[in-house]
Amino acid sequence: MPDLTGWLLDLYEEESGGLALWLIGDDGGRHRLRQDFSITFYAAGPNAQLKALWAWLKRHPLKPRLSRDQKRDILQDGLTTVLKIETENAFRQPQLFQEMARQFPELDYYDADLGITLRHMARFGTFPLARCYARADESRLVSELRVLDSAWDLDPPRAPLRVLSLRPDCDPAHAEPQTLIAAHEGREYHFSLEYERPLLINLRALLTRLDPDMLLTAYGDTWLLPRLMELGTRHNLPLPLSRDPQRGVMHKKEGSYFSYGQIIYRGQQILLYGRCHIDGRNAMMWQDYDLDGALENARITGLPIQTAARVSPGTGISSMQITTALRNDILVPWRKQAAEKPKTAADLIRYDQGGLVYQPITGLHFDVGMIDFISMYPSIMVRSNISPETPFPDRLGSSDYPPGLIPLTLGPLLEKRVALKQRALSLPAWDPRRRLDKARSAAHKWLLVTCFGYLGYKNARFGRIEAHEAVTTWGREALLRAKEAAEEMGFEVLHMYVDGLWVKQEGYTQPEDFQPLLEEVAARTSLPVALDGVYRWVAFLPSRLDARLPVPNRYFGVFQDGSVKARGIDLRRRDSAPFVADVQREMLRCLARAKNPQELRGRVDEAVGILRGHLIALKEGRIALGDLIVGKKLSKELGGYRVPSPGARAAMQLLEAGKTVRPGQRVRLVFTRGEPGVHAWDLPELPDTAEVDVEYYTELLLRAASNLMQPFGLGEEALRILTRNDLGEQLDLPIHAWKREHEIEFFTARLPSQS
Amino acid sequence: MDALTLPLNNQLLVMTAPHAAVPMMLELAARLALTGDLRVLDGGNRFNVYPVARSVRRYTAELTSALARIHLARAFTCYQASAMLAEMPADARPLLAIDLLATFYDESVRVDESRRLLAGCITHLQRLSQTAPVVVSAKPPAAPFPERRVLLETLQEAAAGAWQLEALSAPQSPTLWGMEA
Amino acid sequence: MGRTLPSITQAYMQEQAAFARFRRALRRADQLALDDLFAAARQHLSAAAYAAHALPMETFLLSMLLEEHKEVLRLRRELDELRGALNA
Repeated sequence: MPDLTGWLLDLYEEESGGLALWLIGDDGGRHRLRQDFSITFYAAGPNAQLKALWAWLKRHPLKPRLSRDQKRDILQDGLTTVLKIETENAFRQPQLFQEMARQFPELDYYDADLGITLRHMARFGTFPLARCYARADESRLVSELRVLDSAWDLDPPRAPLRVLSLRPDCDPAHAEPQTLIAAHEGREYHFSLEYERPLLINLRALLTRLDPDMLLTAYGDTWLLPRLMELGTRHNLPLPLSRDPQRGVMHKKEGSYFSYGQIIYRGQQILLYGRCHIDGRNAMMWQDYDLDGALENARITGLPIQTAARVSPGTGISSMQITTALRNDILVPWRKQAAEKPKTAADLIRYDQGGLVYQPITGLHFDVGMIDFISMYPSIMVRSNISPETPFPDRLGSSDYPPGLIPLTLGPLLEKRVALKQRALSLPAWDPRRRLDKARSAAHKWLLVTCFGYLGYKNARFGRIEAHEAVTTWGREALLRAKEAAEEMGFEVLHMYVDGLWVKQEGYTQPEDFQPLLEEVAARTSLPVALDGVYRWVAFLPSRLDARLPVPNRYFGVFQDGSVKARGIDLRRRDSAPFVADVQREMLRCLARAKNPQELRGRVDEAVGILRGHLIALKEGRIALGDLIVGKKLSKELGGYRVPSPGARAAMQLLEAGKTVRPGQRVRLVFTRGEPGVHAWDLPELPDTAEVDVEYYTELLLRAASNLMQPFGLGEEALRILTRNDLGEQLDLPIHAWKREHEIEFFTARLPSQS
Repeated sequence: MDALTLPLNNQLLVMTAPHAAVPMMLELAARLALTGDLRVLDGGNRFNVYPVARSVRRYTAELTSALARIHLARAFTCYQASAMLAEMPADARPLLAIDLLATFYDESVRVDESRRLLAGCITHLQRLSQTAPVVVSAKPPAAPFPERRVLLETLQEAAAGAWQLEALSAPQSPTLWGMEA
Repeated sequence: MGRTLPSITQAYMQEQAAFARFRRALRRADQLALDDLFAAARQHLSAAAYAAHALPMETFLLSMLLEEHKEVLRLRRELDELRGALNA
């Protein structure tokens, strides 16, 4: 067989031993190769037990190779004596380990339950879609494998992936789909789901002809593929979903599981061999980044593409730590044992805290600079060398100790993130790389955001609570130093939140004005810091319940370039009705057009007009039902509710209609008049427009709008009065002066005479 | 709180209460901290320092040094609880293990695994009680998980003394005409 | 994820609740004034958290005093301005 160069698509264990590798060749072919690959893992513990394990393993049919060794467990001092166990059969190793752990539960195990792609990555440097060179013999057994690029490359040559997308013509939870739509490179094929044999024959032909590398589906995990597989069995026309003819598919069942006292629901999964299946409705982060992000995630973490698309970023971070550990000859514990070292009660008060969260100076502010630390916690982890095995740092920015596991793991990721961010600033708007960079950055962001939490996670293999506390401690220190720098340089600090601060100074309106502050903060903290932007105006909102009480993370504002940023108001919450979020967004965009305080007043009037228009539309039944859908998460089993919440009532409706709802799932519903007050969205019949609880949605909208209008003196009551039809358009806008010490007073009070 | 003024001997005491008698354990920690060092193993993320500090302050102004005498470690999994007890050196410092069974009730750990780990913990608790008083508080498992009850019973059986605290109803107060209902 | 110590906001709520009986027995106008004091303490929760005091109520009282003093300073300024305007 000639030497091959190409991209590594898939990798998995063969039942007879060794691995199967799939390469997308430069020659355009899809090549299946074999590779010998031995799995090594370890046991440690009291000598007597190890001896017993040795004897047990000697009798085991798999006949693993046994030896003694000394290896490093970073959570312990010195080297640990271990029993080294090697087997050529990667497929049976997990089973071997399970039996072992059941027989000898007292022992500690290392490197025992690791994904095969992670092991492979540690040994060869491979990762999904890595460019590789392979030499194999006639039986396709690989004798040499070299990786030609790196996961950290900014612009790796892209694999010519053949992608076939499959989706039903509607949401199966809602109605029975009639058609299956397949698409490839812009061409669509429609197959009727009613005529099953022709469907199977045609789909089979399509799969065979196209031989896709990737199957992108909607509802593929939960409905489509299981349905197609069932049809295939029934008509004895099985679909070649996997590319590997010797393998079917891997079917992972659905389930609900406990995590931190909460119930999390995970849908079933259908995974293929030699081909990747991603279900866009079941992919974890699909809202934030699509295929390119998932591929980047797989590339960096080493997880197989199908897995990377489905798991949480926590699993991604854990995988990165595992491969880094393997590469650096550090043992990967099976179960985290290491516990907190005793601290005094006084220390607990000092260290058991999160980031600094200030109460902002509420009200409207103009020309405000927003400064934040770039990936603050990961940066601190890397620069101050925070890791389970390194000592609590005594300063920001450098360390006398060799880099620990965590900085080794995160360092390259941070570098790539910063590099992409810097490139994003310099790329012209039309550059095709922008879109790809954006998706990849999203993947990086999620991994980085998760790694800090993961450090303190009780089940994380390399987690350690002291390290977690060290990060927050130095984070608080960094933020305070930034505040001090700002105040010394004459800025007023309006608000601070964990890793960012809002500052202003008379006459400072341009980004260049804030540059010296940025440099000073960077110098004092040794951390990367950037100007998020200069706000034309920003409003910090008080508590809904008590206007005296500032609330840390509720604000909205407009940057100088006209872009809007909002936090903590309805348009940001994923469970809000789209109607409410859309109106809020429209009002905000209207306000954003104001270039100065004088213009702002006119815009406020306009925004109220927008609100009035939508309320009228709501009353007249002109709002699409789909826009009124509210999402409610089911927090427990239906039997567990004493008084059923709206979500529970909707779930009961679904149950009566024969649909299952598990705890942890989100139920979509519309609020209706009278009893039961809700109508589940996924029932076969849609609710009647006339049944919609207009009063309830009016209240929702008024409340959401009052969040926006509060800084301008208009609360819920004022808006309610202003938006009543009978007052007509001729009304002078009555806005109370809403005086705070630091706000510019520019509205005068005048209330309408009530009819 | 009369029970707390009794001198504590070197033995293993187990207190069972619906919510693991946390306020009582915190008060005990405060009292012990007045006069010497002590160790606390927080098995259920319950060690709220503030009531302890308030309690200490009622007895002395030397709050900082008292708090410095409380040596606390938290177990977030039963594996950690087990490892902590195994590594703990036996000395004269009293040990308070608060809500010890919380992590053993974790549904993601199988019952037989929890039992195995607990057996190990009990061995070490008994070892430690040779040289210092060891007081363990625990709560019964939640209603849907009766199979975990055996963990509590095993712990109680291993103790030299076991108290069961019931939830108290509202105290009866005397009126001019006798006891008020 | 390991948070054992109540957040400063929770500690604040607990301290406020501890004065519920006192508040109840006050006249209405006094209740409102007391609420103002507690609201004032709310402005400086982040500093109270960072202070890591074993008895956070002391920090809350100091915060109340801080806001009171700021109000005094503000009133003094206003008074000076008024005086200046009168004399002019």
